[in-house]
Amino acid sequence: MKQQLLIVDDESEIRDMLSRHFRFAGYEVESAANGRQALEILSRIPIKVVISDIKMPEMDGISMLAEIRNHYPMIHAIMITGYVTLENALACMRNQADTVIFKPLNDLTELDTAVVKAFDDLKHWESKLLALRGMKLTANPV
Amino acid sequence: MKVVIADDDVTTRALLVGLLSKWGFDTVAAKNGEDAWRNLKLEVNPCVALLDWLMPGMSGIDVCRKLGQRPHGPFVYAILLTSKGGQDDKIHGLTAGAHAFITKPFDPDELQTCLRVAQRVLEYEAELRIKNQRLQGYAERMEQFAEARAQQLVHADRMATLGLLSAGVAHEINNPATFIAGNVQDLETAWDLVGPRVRQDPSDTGKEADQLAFVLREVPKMLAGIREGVERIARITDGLKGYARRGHETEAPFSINECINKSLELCHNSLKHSVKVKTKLGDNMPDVLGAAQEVEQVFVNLFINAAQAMKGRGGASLRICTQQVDSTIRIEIEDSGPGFSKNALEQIFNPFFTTKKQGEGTGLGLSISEGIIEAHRGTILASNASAGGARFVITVPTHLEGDSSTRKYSDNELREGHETTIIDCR
Repeated sequence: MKQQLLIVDDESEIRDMLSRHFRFAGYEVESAANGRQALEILSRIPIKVVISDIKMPEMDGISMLAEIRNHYPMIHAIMITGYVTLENALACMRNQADTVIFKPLNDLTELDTAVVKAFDDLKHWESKLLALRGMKLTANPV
Repeated sequence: MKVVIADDDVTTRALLVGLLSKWGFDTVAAKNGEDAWRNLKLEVNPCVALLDWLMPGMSGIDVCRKLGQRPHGPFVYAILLTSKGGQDDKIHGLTAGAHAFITKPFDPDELQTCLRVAQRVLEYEAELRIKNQRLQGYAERMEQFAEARAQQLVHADRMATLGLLSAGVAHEINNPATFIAGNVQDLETAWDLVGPRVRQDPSDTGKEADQLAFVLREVPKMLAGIREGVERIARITDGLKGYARRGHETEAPFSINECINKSLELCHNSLKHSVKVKTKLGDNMPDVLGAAQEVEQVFVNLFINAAQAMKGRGGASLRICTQQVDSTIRIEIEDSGPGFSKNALEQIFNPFFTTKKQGEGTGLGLSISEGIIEAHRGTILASNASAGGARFVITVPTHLEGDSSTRKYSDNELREGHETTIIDCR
């Protein structure tokens, strides 16, 4: 099965560009125009890696990230932003984003690397879970 | 004190000249009203006119009137000396502009007293004139100050507006730059895949075959052109964001010399091979108050500019000199490059002005640097050094002990404080 990605950006051209880029690289890509749409998609499709802009109407990337941490703690988030401020970077760190990448993305390899790393990390935990297949949760998980 | 004596009677004239010379006055004798007026017109300093009333041609009264009518020219204290002695005559004479009235035959003591009064008045007048000139000088200087200050304010205002505007524009341009940059990178990858697999269709005619060959050859260059363009846009927007980033750092006392040394370290790569750096940094200089990183940015800018200007020139040297001058630190930075043209000197701090090749500089560095120095209540001036290179003189006020934030921070304390904000990311 193809690896799934969710791309969130209010600028349709950027959304399309990133979507095309990652589809070309072999991923299956969903896209959303803001945080609210993204959460709606996440509630239907078990996507594990999200690439998101920060400044968006309706629900911005930081609020979306906080929601994701509440409901889907395993999701990897890679934030991209044109508004490079310390506040934004700290907010991303506090909500455990993988990284923040600054627009205008003159070198897409930084983003590619972050995505590969996110999937590697997920794979690592999946292999651990696989090794524990068949075991049941104890009554009081630590 | 000079006295112009006018009397048509030669005996009276001689008598007056004799008396006045004895009392110590310089005298000029005039035989009638015209003669007196001619002499008075030549005078550049305030003086006294001792005038007979009744003379053939222009009378003493006429001379008084003429003196009253000229708008400029030195002050003349006019004394009418006349045989007309009635009260009406006195009123008539003084109304015409005379300052004193003495009747003939005159008492020499009265005349001398009257002349002494004239002397006192002239002295007051001279004093007033000097004070007036001084005041005028002050007023002119104040006007110049006011004009300079107004220009500074206009400039500061323009820079503030430009800062806001340009930061906004930079963010707006960032998004389109993002999808151009992204798409062109993907196109390059795609072309690497597609290009080598494109084959001529055997049915193509000569012209189309030529054009296809051309396209196959040129597409990578076209893509590289787009990529280069968007990279340049990114550099400019990054520079513009420099305007907005200003003022976010908190103020703390720091050492200009340390700042220069750090900047030199940062520029090590650009300077190490070809430029000889000579520093003469003042000892025991007080700190300045502000944002060290911003001022560092200014020095880095100037050093890199110097290195670029001296590229390929033999014996390249960069001279950096700091000293305390009263309550300011003065920093001189001089290179051995080609210096500025007159045109460049006039525009050097204007945003987007650059003498560098297209794509090498955005023309924002010095404009931002000027803003930073001004934010530190300092000045930055560009000129040509006597030896021909570029020369920058920066002055920044020293940090006064007893200010609101007099606490001296050691470097370590500052760094720790800085790290705390980063670590505190819960």
